[in-house]
Amino acid sequence: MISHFPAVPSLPSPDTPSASDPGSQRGRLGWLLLLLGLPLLLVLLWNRIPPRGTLPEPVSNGTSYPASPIPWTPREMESPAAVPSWTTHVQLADRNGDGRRDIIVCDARFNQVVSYDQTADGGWTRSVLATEIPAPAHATLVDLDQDGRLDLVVSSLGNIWPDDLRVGKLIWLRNTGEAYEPVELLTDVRRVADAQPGDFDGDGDIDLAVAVFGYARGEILWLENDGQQAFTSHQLFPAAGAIHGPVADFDGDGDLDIAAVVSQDREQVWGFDNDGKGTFTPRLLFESLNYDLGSAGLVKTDLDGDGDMDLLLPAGDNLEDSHSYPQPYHGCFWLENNAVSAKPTPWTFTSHRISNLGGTYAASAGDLDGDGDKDVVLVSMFNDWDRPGHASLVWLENDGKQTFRPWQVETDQTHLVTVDCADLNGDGRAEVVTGPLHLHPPFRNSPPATLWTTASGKAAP
Amino acid sequence: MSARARPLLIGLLVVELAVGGYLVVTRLGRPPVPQVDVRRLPPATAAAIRQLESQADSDRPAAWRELGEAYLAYGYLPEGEVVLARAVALDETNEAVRWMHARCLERLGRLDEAIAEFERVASGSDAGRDPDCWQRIGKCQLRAEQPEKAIAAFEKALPSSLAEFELARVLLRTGRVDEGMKHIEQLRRTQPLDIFVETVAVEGARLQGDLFRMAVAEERAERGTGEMEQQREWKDLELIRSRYGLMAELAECSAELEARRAAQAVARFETVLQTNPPEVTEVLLTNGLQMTYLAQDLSTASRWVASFEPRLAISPLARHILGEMEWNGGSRQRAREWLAASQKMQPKSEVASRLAELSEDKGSAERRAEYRSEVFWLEGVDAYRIGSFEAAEGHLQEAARRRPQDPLPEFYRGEIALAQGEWSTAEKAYGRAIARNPHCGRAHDRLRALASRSGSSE
Repeated sequence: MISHFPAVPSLPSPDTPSASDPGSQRGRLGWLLLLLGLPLLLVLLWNRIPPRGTLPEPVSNGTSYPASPIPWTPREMESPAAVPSWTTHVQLADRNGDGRRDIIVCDARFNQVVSYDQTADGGWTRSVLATEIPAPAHATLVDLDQDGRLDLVVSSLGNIWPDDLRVGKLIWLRNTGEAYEPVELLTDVRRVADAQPGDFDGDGDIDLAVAVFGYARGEILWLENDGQQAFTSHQLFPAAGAIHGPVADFDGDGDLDIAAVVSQDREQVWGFDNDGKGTFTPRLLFESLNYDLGSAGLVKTDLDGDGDMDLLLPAGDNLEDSHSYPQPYHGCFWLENNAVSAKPTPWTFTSHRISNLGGTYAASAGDLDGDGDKDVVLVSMFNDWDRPGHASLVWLENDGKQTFRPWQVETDQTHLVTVDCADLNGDGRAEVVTGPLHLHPPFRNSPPATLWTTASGKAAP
Repeated sequence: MSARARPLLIGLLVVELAVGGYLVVTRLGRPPVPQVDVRRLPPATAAAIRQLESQADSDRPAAWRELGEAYLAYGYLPEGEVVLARAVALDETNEAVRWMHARCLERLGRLDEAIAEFERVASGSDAGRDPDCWQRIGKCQLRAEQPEKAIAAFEKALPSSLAEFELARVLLRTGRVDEGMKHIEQLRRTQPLDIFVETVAVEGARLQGDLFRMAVAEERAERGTGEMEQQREWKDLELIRSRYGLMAELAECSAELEARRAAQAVARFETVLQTNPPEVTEVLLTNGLQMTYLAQDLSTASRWVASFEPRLAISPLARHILGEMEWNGGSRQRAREWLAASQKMQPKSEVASRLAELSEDKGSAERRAEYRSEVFWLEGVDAYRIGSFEAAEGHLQEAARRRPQDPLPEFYRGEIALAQGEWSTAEKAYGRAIARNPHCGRAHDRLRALASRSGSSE
């Protein structure tokens, strides 16, 4: 039997009689070392034993697309701040009437409205238009008092974080010609997300449609102007989560109507059909029973160029989750207005899902490739940022028949929540401006606004 | 060594080799632990996650579960799913693990798999989990736009309040308004004055075209509390996060505070501020300043503000705290500056009250009167919201007297009357609000609602 273990040299021989024999002692020691050493060796090497098993590869929901055939060049409007930006709104508009579009930015981290004004030589100058506006969500350019100077109406959330108290405000920054003088138009109201102008009652002055997002409670209002910029509020709809309230003649009857997206625990788009005198009939245009769809905005645009105003509904806001993640139903819907084709039964909209970009937060429409039709640009707040290569900025190329092909522009600037596009230089191709809202990690320092131009793009009148 | 001992030793050796070999082979067969990029986490949290990854290499079910839960809570969902699936495979009868796996699948939007996993948990031995499972299944069915399946699932989850809330809502939105309203009435009994219940009640009344009932529910929602919110699904993930790293350190600071050791809390917090990236410090700064307030440590507070103010906007609450500390420290000028800045951004009765006192210092009777009227107004609204109607009425009456142009004190007196079912008193109050300012749209809306009450079922 023993001969079966020739590799154990110190094994004592069978005829070892005496315990005091040095050979016998060595043999015992050998046995002891062997019997204790083997387990000890196993313990010592235990953590070095490599794993040879397998697990399924983690599958990301992140979305990415082919690189844009049109190269886009980013221009950071200022250096990234030491802390990540909380930009809530960017827009391209001629604020100061010099014939050149400027970039107006709402900055919720520093509670201010900033403008980057385009200069004649294609440069940009920064100016702060207003400060101490708690969490401004949207700045609307409008000559509210019709004195010939463009004012700003700023929707103030009051708190960027969920808050159900009446902390919001609507502030009119009255352009005096030398400065913007703040006038509170609406107080004792929950978080205000948007205000859009229009003469709803046909009396010649500018009224306002207001989206009060709130949190658990909110509402959609229209504010009736008495001609002296004193406003009476009228509730159109009681619901939390109103984000945007674009104004247009959606039914083609000659007066201005209001559309609004209601998110939070609803996922609905409503139209408010104006009779021309400020009496509105609500019409449900879109609804999803998936309360996690994450509607994030509503943009009016005649996407198919048929003469009626369509709507773009970006969906991908799951801010209720501390660590939001792209979902298979995120993306962008085109709500095609059938007002022209469906006459005499207006207010029928057909929804088309035109993108599956995870975490889609904002959309804008414009001719990005100069082919004469309207393309769409989208930004994502919640793609899968833990893995590189997922899109934060994409554009959807329209083939002229509203079939869209996605192209990826950017992956590094994450958490983009706001986008606008317009042709800044008259080359027939729209430039794009974006802004990030870094509420959630991963935090990457990025500028409050970035202008994206195509190869030919130089800012000029 | 005796001849008898030798075979024993040899036997022992054989057993050792056999057991050792088995252990090595088993160990070799374990899968590698999926690792995540922890750079987006605060350093302390990242270290805690790395520690969990290391523990999971032991291949113990509990270690995989803990890691999977942490991944889920910190948003590493694809890795979390793989890890939790491994934990389930190692401990198939553990329903708690399977539940978390289902939650992860749900958050990934893998709805069919999530539903199947929740169903497996529901069919298990722990009947206590069943309502939660059916509630989650109902939510998944809604996300899949399957309202009838969602309704069936929510019905199985009854009498869970959360399921009843979801059921009421989906019934309303699928045109079964009367059925939905029955559940709302039931919820009003179990969850009195809940904001979420009352807002769905507003929706139901609107669908029924009952303006008056809508107004009553709106008013109730105004005074509502968010109990339903506390039951929502993301709360469990908050709990998991609080175990690790930064959140655990903050919990320790809170524990120091609870033990009335404010100075120690401030010292711990100082470390938290120093060891975490600047991105997370703005939210933390206000928390830290609250600690310095409790410790009456103006010097540390000032140092922190001086350090962070160039980079961060100081929140209204932080300004309030600093103002109070400056007041306590005797610097009334600085107190006035901080408090006025706080009040401008977010009015509060305590701040208005302090500013009124400071205005006495300054000898400005006009400013003092303004702040005093603000105190009455804000305290009146606060008292109304917590249902102290008598106190609210007193404050609002005084606010109305001091602010003759302002319609809102009278509007809220109307709300108090509406809450108490005193319709005629309410009408008068809304009328007074409109008399003060015909632009008070909310009062007009309420008067219309009251005028329609004869046709209401309220």
